[in-house]
Amino acid sequence: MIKKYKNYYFKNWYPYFFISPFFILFTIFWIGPIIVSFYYSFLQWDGISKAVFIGFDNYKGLFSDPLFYKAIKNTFILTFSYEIILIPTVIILSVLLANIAERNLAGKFISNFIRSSFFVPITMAMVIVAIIFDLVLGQRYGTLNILLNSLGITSNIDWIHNPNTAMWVILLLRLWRNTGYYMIFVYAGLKSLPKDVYEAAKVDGANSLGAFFKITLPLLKNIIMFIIFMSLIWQFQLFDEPWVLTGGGPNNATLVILIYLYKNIIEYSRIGYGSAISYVFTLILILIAILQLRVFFREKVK
Amino acid sequence: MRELIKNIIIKFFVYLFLLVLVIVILTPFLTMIVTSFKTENVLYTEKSFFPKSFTLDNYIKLIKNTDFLKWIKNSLIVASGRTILSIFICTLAGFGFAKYSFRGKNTLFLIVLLSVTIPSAVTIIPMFIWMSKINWIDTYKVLIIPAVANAFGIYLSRQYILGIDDEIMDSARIDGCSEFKIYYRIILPLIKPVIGALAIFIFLSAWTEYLWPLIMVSKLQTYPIGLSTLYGDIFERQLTLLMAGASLVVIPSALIFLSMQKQFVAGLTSGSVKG
Repeated sequence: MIKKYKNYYFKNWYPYFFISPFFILFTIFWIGPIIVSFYYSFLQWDGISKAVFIGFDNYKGLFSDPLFYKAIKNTFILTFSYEIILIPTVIILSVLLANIAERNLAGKFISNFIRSSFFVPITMAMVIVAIIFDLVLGQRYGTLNILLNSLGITSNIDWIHNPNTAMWVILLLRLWRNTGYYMIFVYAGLKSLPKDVYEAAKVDGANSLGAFFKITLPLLKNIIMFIIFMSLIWQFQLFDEPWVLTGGGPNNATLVILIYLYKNIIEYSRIGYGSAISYVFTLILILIAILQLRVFFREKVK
Repeated sequence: MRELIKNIIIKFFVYLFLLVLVIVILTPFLTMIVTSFKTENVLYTEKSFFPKSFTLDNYIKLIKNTDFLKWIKNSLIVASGRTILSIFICTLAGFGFAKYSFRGKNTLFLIVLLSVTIPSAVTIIPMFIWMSKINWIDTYKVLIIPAVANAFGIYLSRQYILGIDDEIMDSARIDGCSEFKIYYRIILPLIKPVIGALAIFIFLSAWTEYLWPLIMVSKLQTYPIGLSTLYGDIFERQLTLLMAGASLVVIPSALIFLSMQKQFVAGLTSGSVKG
């Protein structure tokens, strides 16, 4: 009896007890640094000697920094072209593969094999994928060039170290790696779609294409929104591939925001300036998140 | 008859489509494996895709002359440490949010959700300075602990646990079960799909992480960092060695993740618990 009374008395404390490990870590390693970073952005500091408070000078410097603008421009181009290609590709491929599996148009083994092989690229670190793509596209005798040569087109272009094509190589390799990951989400969503809606539509004379646009897509809306949201956030933070392949070059052709941040911290030791960069970057991401939420939930408000 | 022809045509295009798909997906892998059997100089002189002289040198050199095994060991320790700690802490917190009401509950959860939009890059500078001061640089701690409080983890846990019937908990309480025991004995077994999904998600992101370890550690290298050092300067590049390393890592990774794919999907769809 006493035990039960004790449990009841202390029950009010239990939730705090359960959530505290998480929030302690969250505050120490996430909230804390975010606030400190804000403070740093008002300093001129190299991390070692005395820090000088310079107010908004770092931010003013950013606004007239051509490299910063280049970084933003590159990041935006990369991100939005990525999104434009990724989302339709993921949806179409998932639907096609689901249909093929459903109607048994190819063997079950083949369907599973293909679905599984889409997932494998994600298990590889981005840097490794980037380096492999160097072999495919970046060498004199890279795979693509060998293929083109064997078809009679002489080609020994290094597609990666060419300022005009470097960005598209990075885009390609990111797409290659990540498509499978998002396909899993869409596939999971497709599986949970109610079949009777399609039956009813068939009875009413709808064809597959119409069914796709009018039934499948709207039902997948939540998943698609989720994918767009997450992939945008992650894509903006890209670093690995352009860094390891070209170090942001050639001629800053692949300079993305995080690479510029990294250079400022490690190479130029401009702690204050780097913090300002990270803050502006954060603001950009938050703005984009807000924009997305407004677009996505506009209909709900109605 | 027409039906038959139509079916054959459809099947033809389906197989063609699948073939193109397979080629696109597999070409980089094939390149990776094929290159691992070539010698370095051959890369720049030989025009053929397949090696004219097949060599296992790269694999031998990789294991003997580089820290490859150390890199893998480090990556395993970091990824497992992070996964286990994160699952425990996130599911515990998700349980707290799902099954109890307390002051500040909604605000706190909202803060966690909003933190997703904030890039981790904004914490790098203060973290680097602070970790240097407390000597956590170049340790396992700095790679494992900061990433444990994972917003995604707490979100998935809460969603899933919300679907668990309160009655199970109430009857356990009547039987004299402590709250923590409820978490441990009842909730945890019931949320296996979420645990599976989180395990894959967290392990994968720790396994393939690059920027954070690049800044926070230098001697204690994880495999992405380690392998990419073989890429080095254009005059010191050891691509064939690198490909051997990549090939070795891909196969077990792929197998493990493929086998857990089903749980990943199940955990994501955060279905309600039966009964």
